[in-house]
Amino acid sequence: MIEADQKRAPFSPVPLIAVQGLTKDYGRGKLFSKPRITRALDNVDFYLERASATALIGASGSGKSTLARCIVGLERATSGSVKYRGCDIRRIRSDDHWQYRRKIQIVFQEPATTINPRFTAEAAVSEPLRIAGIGNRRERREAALYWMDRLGLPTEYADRPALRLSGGERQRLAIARALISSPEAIIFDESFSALDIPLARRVLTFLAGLRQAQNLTCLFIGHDLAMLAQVCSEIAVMHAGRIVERQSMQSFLRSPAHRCSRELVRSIPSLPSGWTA
Amino acid sequence: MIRVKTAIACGVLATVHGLALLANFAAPYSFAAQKREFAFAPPTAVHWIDRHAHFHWRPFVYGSNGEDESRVYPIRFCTRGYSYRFAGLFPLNRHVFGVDAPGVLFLLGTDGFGRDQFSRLLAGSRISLTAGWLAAILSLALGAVLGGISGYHGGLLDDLIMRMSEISLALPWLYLLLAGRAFLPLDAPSSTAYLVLISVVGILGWARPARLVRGLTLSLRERGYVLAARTFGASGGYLLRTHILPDALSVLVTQMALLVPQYIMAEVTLSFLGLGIDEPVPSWGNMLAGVQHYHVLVSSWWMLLPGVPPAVVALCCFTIADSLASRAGAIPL
Amino acid sequence: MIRFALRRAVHAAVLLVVISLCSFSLLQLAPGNYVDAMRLDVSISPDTAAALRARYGLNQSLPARYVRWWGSVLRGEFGVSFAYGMPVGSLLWPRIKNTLLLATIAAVGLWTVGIVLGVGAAITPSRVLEHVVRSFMSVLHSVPDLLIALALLLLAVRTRLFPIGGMTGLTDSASLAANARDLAEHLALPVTALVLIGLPLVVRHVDAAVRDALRSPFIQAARAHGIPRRRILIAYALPAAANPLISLLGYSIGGLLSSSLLVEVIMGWPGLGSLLLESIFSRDVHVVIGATLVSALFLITGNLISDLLLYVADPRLRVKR
Repeated sequence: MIEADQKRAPFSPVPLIAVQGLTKDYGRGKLFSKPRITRALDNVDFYLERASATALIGASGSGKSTLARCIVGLERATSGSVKYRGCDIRRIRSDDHWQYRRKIQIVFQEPATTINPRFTAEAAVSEPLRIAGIGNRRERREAALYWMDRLGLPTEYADRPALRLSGGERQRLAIARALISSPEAIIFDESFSALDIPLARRVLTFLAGLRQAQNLTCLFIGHDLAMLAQVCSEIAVMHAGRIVERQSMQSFLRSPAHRCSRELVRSIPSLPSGWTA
Repeated sequence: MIRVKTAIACGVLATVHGLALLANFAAPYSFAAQKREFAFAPPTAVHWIDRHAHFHWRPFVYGSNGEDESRVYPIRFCTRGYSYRFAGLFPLNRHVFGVDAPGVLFLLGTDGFGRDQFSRLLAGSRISLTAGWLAAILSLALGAVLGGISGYHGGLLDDLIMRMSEISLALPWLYLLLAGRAFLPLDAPSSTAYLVLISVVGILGWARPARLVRGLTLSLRERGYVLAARTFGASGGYLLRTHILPDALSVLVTQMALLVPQYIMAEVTLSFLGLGIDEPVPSWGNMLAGVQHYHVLVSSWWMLLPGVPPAVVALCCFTIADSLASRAGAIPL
Repeated sequence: MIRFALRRAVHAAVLLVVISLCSFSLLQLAPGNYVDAMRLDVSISPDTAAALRARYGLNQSLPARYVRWWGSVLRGEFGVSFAYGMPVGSLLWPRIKNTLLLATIAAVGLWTVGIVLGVGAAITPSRVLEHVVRSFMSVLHSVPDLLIALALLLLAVRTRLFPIGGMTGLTDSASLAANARDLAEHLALPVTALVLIGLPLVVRHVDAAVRDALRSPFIQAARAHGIPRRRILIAYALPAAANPLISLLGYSIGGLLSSSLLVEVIMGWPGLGSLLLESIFSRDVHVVIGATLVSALFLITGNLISDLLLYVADPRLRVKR
């Protein structure tokens, strides 16, 4: 079903990912007590264009991670739809479902749990290929080492258990793992908080290169507006489960529309005049 | 990697279980054999030096349980004694050690019927250890299944199972057990009653392992690497095999190490109270029951010895559980 | 908070009814009953046995007997004991008092000693002392409760310092002081046994809780502020450590009840546990059910109290979401 769409309109204006009216409620009825429902997403409309770099910001609890998880398919929304290249992901048949899952990847925030501590670095990165049954052992290892190298991880780390790597190293492994299956889109859910700033900058530069070369779509969820402003061309703001603003990054920085956004823009630290980088 | 204490604990446990398996071979007397003339006899003194100050390589005992110094009975090894079936298959009558009749060798003294406590201790270890393992396995298996279902599916099923576990934990287990034992006819064949009882004990103890497994499942289900594997299309089976079970396994083994001694104690208590295995089959519990009589308490201190093996087994199990728990804790989070 | 307590009370009542139903069905389903045991006694004719059976209602159907039992409950009798020939309620009441007395004093002793040892082990700079306490508790935990009670009994026999079992001695004196002294002498051994049995768990948890509290960031901050150590311990660390300990309190009541049954039987303390055992052997079903219900009630009450204490002690639980 996915392939047919691609053949039909490879350059159609349909966005890569389109979210419409998405609502997600948590909480369920318990025995003998009233259900307490929290609404994490409230009628969200959102889209991601191919090869774009979009930022998604908002206060904690505004629903950013929930949106990401719904897009990737880790959560099932209460109502609304998520469409990948025009097809509702819920209608994708199971065998295609795995294909879809490989096309959209997500990198999580917590470096400690993002890689199984018992796995070696190389095994962790090549896991997607192993699960999909792609290539033989040697090929998988080569692919893993390739991506590890491009993310600045030395080859000696390949057989080291993830237990013995630092948070920043593990986070880079997670990014390598997301890239190894040649996805079309990657969602970075606060993935850069664990990396120190020069390192984060290097990784972001590398990702920008990938975007150009492979038309990789990126969604960056985060807090650090200063960093996001440098990387993303578009920005969306979430508040209490809704998208309250969506603009190009330039116009946003000049004149943020929503009250919360104004707070966020105001809080970007800048060097005092007279200091140079 | 393995600390000395843990290694010793494992060694002792292996020895105890080995002795239990080879109980008939290691015991000089049958557990039911009575020598009424030696009722409540103290442990036989073993000597290497006789009254003429001669040293003998082979240890010996004096006649009449040490009182008659005129008769000397050397201890023979790999000697003939009562016959039994080895592994229930072929008959054998060799034993590790023994003395020729009419000499007697009561390493741990005798009870009111003149039965050798050492032999009974060995025979009883079979009963008590089996009880511990059987009940622990039942408890853990049932708890793991219910806890896993509860944690994985959530929802109403989870709520129901958790409520039931709260109820189960809220009741005093001993009272419930005794009440449950009452529902078995008092004159049922001892082995049946015993097996049923142990199974009930094990099944009643499902709540704590269930809560543990549920917590484990809940936390493991949400780990970053499990979610990541789901995003690249991993099946439930793969997740369980590769990510969830290895972590859960170490916790479950630790639980096992804690449950086995607990259930051994339960069996000992029940048999002591007269609700477990019946005479003449010995268990560490019903051997202790004799101590309740005043005259026994006053004059026959060796009757308290059956309390030592459960303590030793428990100590070893707890040591192993501690070391397992601290090793599992080495994995961050 | 009243609503919370009320809701739990309703839960408890429902629970007790369920337990009564389960116990009743289980026990009555069991083959053989009190009167059957009398068959062994040849002096009792079959007619007498039949008459007794009719009188106790043992020939009625199960639901009918359950209803009849409920009638008795509402009258405050909780059924009739076959062996003692009196209402179960009046039979249980003095036993309940005895067990409560034993359990309460044991609990106080247990937690006092446990807190002292646990806090001591957690804060002592001496590694040796810490190791000694931990090892001793480990060994104590491994020793079967049975053996502890029996060993204490042996001690009593050998030293003749304490009476060997029972609750009261043969005193003619009616003076309060003498009776109190007598009671105290008889209490000493069972209470010591219960304390020794429950100590390892309590010490281990107090040690862990205090240790955890002392490691938490807000304590480090307090020390950085220069607040003296003792004040930190008493005013900051202990309240923080109290939370898991109050939960343990509720749980340990169950353990205390179970151990008290053993201790009562071994040391001849006339409490609920020894009555239960006796009535199981004589198949005195109403007593068994009554005793089981009472012990379940104790446990539920204990848990309820500890939940309420937790609610009062931990302000975090009172914050409305």
